[in-house]
Amino acid sequence: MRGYELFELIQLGLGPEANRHRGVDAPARRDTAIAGGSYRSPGTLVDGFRAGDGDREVKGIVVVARASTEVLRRAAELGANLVISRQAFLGDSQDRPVSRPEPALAEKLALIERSGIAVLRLQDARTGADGRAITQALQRAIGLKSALNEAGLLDALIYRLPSTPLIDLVRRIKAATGSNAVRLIGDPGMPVQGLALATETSRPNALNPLIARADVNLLVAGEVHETETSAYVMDAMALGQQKAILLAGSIALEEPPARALAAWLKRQVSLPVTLLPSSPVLEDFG
Amino acid sequence: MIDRRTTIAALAGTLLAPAPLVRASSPLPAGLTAREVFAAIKAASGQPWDPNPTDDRIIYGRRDAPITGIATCFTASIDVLRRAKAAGLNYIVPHEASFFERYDDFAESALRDGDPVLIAKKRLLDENGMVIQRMHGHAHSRPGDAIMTGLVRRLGWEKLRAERPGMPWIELPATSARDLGRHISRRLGRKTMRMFGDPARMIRTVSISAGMPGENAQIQQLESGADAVLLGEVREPEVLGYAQDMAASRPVTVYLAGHTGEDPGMGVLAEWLQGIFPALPVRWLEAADPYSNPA
Repeated sequence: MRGYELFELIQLGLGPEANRHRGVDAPARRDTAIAGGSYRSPGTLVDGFRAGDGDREVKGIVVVARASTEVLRRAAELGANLVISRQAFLGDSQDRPVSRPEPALAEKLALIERSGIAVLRLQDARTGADGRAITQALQRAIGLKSALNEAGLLDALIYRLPSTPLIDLVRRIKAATGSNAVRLIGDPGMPVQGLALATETSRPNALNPLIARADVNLLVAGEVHETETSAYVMDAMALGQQKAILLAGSIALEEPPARALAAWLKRQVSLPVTLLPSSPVLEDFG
Repeated sequence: MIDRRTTIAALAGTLLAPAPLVRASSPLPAGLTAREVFAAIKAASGQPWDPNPTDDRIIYGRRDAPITGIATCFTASIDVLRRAKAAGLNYIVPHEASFFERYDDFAESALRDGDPVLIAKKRLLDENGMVIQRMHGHAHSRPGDAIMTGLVRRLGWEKLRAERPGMPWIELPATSARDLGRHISRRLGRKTMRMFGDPARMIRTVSISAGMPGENAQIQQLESGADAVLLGEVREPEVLGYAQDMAASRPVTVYLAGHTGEDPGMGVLAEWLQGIFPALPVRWLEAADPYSNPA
C-alpha cells in the first residue's frame, strides 16, 4: 500500500472533515495581520502529506501527537516510513516556517529526506462515526458524553455533565494526556456542570465567548492568549462568578486522539502500527 | 485627542511638544486632568509617541477627569481596580489590554456588548472616575526596556547581565537547571512554572524575554547559543515544538514563566512616573501568578 492509498483509506474510514475549526470564529482581520498568518483560520483544514513522499510503499506506521525529530528518528529505527502527526510539526499550525533561519527544522527535513519517511498530518475533525470517536477520544477519556449540538459551531464544543468537582476533572485530564504540567485558574473544589473544550491552538480573541456563556463554568484549552482569556476568567471570578480555566497543553491534548487513531488503524491495515508518546515532557516548579 | 487614527502630522506635533514641561525643576502641580497627565507622560517619554500597534492611549474614561493618583499594573483587572480605588488612585496604567481584546477595541471583541463582566468592569470604572491609559510599546521602548529592566532586577541578575544587544543575556556561575528553575520560580512568585529539558544540566548563560514577543524572536533566543532561555507566553507547537526538535541534536533548557513575568517592569515604570508627577501618589499594584497546578 502506498502512502496516498493509506490516506484515502483513512479518509473513507473516518469520514469527511467537519470543515470547521475546533475553536470559535472571531474577528480575524487584524489577528491575521499581526500574526503574519501564523494562526489557523476558522475552517482551515490541515490533513495531508506535509513532508516526504506520499507515493512510496508504506512499510510501517507510527502515530503520534506531534512528530518531533526524536519521534522521526525512533520511527526510522522501528523500520516505519510513515509518521502520522496530529499536531503541527514543522513550524506554525499549518506547518509553515515562522522564523528564519530555523536550523532545527532544516535538520528535521534532512532526517526526513535521509530516512525516506513521509509525514501525514491528521488533525481535522472528521464526521464519520469512527472519525468522531477519534476526535472525541479526550472527551471519552475524561467521562464526557456528547456535545450540546455536534453540528453547531459553539455548541459542538460544549458539554453538560453531572456536577463534578473541578479537581476531579483536572486529575482525569492529567491521566488522559499523561502530562502533569497543567495550569488552572479557579477553585479546585468548584462544581463543574458545563464544560467547553477547545483543544486546538487558539487564535487570539477566540475563546472568551465560550467561558462567558452562562451554561459553561470550565474552559479546557491547550493554550489561550493569557491577557485575553485568563484575564476574563480572573475578572469573572473577582465578580463572584463560578468560572475556571484549565490549560493542559495543545500538544498533550492530542495524545488521547493519537492513541485512538493508532488503535483504529491497527484494525484497518495489516502493516505494523506503533503509537509513540511525543508530548514535550515538562517539569513544574510551582 | 490622540487615538489610533492619529496622523503622522499629529505625531510630529507630539514630538515637538515642550519636553521641559516635565523637568524636575518645574514639578507638575496636583489637580491635573487625565488629558494633562497623558500629555505629560508622552512629553516626558522623549519618544515619538505612536499609539499603534499596541494602543498606548487613553483606553477608557473621561479625558477631563481630575486625577488623584496613578497606579501601574500588568492588567487593569477588577482586583487591581478595587485596590486602586482603596488607595485613592484613579489613573490606571496597565501594560496589557483591559477589556479582553488585545487592542481594547470593542468593535473587534468577540464578547457580547451585554457581557456581565464587561458591564461590571465599566461600571466600576465609571463610578470611581477612573481612567485607563495603556502603556505597552512605550514601556518596552523606554531606555533599556522598562519591562526587561524590571524582570532582570526582580531576578536579582542586574550585575550578571552581559553588555550585548538584543534580549538580556545573563552569565551565571554554573547552576543546575533545576536549581535555576527554583530560583526563577521563587523570585517571580510563581505557583506554576514549566521547564523543558534535563533538570540536571548545568546552566551558565540565560537569554531572557517576557510576555509574547513572537515566535520568531523566541526561536532566535533558542538559537542564540544560550544554555537556557526564559520565556513568558509561547505558541506551543511553534516554540515549544521547536525546542523539542532542537533537543534531538543539542541540549535545550526552556523555562515558561507566563505572561505576568512582565509585571515587575510596571514597577520600574511607576518609579519613572513618580519622577514626572511628584505631587501625585504613584503606586505599582503587583499581579500575583494567576495559575495553580493542584495535585
